[in-house]
Amino acid sequence: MKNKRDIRIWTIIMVTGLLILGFNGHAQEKWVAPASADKIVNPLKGDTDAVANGKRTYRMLCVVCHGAKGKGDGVGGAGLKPLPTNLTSAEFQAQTDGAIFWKLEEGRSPMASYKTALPEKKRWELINYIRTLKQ
Amino acid sequence: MKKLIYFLIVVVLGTTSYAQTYNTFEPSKTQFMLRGYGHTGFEYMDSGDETESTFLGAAFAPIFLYKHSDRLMFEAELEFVLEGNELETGLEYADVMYVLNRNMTVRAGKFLLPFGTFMERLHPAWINRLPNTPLGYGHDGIAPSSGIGVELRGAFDLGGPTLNYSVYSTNGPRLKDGSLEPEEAGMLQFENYEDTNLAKAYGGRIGLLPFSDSSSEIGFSAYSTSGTGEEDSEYEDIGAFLYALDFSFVKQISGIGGVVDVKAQYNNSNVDTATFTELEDGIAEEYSFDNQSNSFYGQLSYRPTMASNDFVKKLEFVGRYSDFNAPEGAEWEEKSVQYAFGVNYWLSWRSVVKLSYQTTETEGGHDGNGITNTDGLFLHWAIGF
Amino acid sequence: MKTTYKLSIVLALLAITGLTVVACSSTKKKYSDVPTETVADTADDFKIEKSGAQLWGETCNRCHIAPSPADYNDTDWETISLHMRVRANLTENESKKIEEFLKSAN
Repeated sequence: MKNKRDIRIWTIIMVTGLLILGFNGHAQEKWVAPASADKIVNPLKGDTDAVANGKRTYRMLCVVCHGAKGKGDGVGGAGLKPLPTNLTSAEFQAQTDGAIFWKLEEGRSPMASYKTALPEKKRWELINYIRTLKQ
Repeated sequence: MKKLIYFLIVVVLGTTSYAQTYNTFEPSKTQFMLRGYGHTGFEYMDSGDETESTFLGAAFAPIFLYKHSDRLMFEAELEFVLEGNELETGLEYADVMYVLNRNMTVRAGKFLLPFGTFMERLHPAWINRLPNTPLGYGHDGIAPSSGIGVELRGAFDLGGPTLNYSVYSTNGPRLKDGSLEPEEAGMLQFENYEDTNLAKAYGGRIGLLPFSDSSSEIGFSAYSTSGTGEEDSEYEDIGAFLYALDFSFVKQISGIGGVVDVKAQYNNSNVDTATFTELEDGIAEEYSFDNQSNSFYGQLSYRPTMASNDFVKKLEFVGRYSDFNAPEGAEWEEKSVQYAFGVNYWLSWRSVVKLSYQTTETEGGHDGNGITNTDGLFLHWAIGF
Repeated sequence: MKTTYKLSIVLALLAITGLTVVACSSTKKKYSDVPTETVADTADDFKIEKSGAQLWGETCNRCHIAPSPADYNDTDWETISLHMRVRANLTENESKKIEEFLKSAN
């Protein structure tokens, strides 16, 4: 009888522990765009004028967290968890334009969603600019 | 048994569908939040002939916010601190505010006074970069921290620069005449929530942020009253005029890879000269002094937010100078200078562990004549919520 | 004697405030609101101006580290924005735009 109760208590402890782990793990999960996003084609691919426009939008909306050079070291980023993505990294730049477009549209807290706040064309211009940050 | 299972199914499904519909409700106009901050820590003090070390009881300051509409709101902050095995409670502020238009908000009740910026904006433990207040604030401070009255405040967008203002009237301070505590005769007591005379205190602050990136702010505050003594007493017409200058600069500078934060405030208090009585060997003697006090603090802090290392990113280095001068000839005559240095580690944007060392040189003061040097080591943990 | 000096300073403070109120009450609404879905569809209507994100980074950091938008829900951010507008004496533009940003990123 006593054994059974012990098991029950342990089960509760372990389940709670797993739940806590699970929720924490969820927060640290890598952000991957769905495969369908890769098929979205960048209509401004190779458009150099778009880069200049994209830079203006970047300075207005992104620089505060992602930093002037895209390293994720902007003034607002210090208090965020996870820290802002380093846009110059090989891992980030390895994504397709479509995947970045999808992320800009969806957002993932504390990254804002720009589906309504930013017109589609502006978002593609931004992606062209972000490509120039590659190191 | 079967009945029970059916019942459970109904309950489970029922609540799920209820939970789904629940989310579609519009949020209510009335919104209530319980917020606040707390801190705890360890201190080691050495004043030459005396050393002491102690864990500090936790201080807890809940803030109640009631938003009745987009314009009307009530806010209150309580303070719970352990002092000498007793729980001390305090009402930091409790006021109602109404947004009249885009440039004007009226407040009434007990509110934090915009006399400079330290007490109004920077003193909460999770905001203050050092574990304690600079000289001149707090218990024996010369700057008023809160008052009961009415206030009009607001801000203007000047197309880049912004300007903010505040004007208020409160019950005002009370002059300590020395009848209860002879060693404090001539001090102003700001915790005066039942006025003893007809003279009210009037004051205000003007702050200008000259650059569009809001990095700098300079402010001028004044606080004046024509009477601080009790009605019909000889001190009834002893007036007081106080002013403060404040400065703030916060900016991320990529050349040095981080955020620089400069804060400074100068306070000056001028109370009309009055005559007080002191007992010397049982004989009452009258004395008087020029009742002028001042205090200053300047603080510089740096956070290497652009460092590549995630641990270094969360560090902060801070240094602060402060001094305090109480009038010559007063029983509480004092000249103090303090240096404080600290290293902080930010666990999140609202939780910080502060390690600091501070050294104070006091000439005179409550502890008597001569020069006292007090060194302190502090380890504090503050959290805002 | 001193009282007149003090009174004059208080009066000067009041006068400056009053003048600024008058001077600024006639200015037109200089900023446009955060574009809504319909506005955002056409690229021409999109204005380059100080964004809520920028204001959040600059304004909040004046006193404390800018809060993570993830830490409160929309209704909480509304309460906090009104509280901070009064406490830190922010302009209506600043507090409204910061509120919009925080709500878009939580």
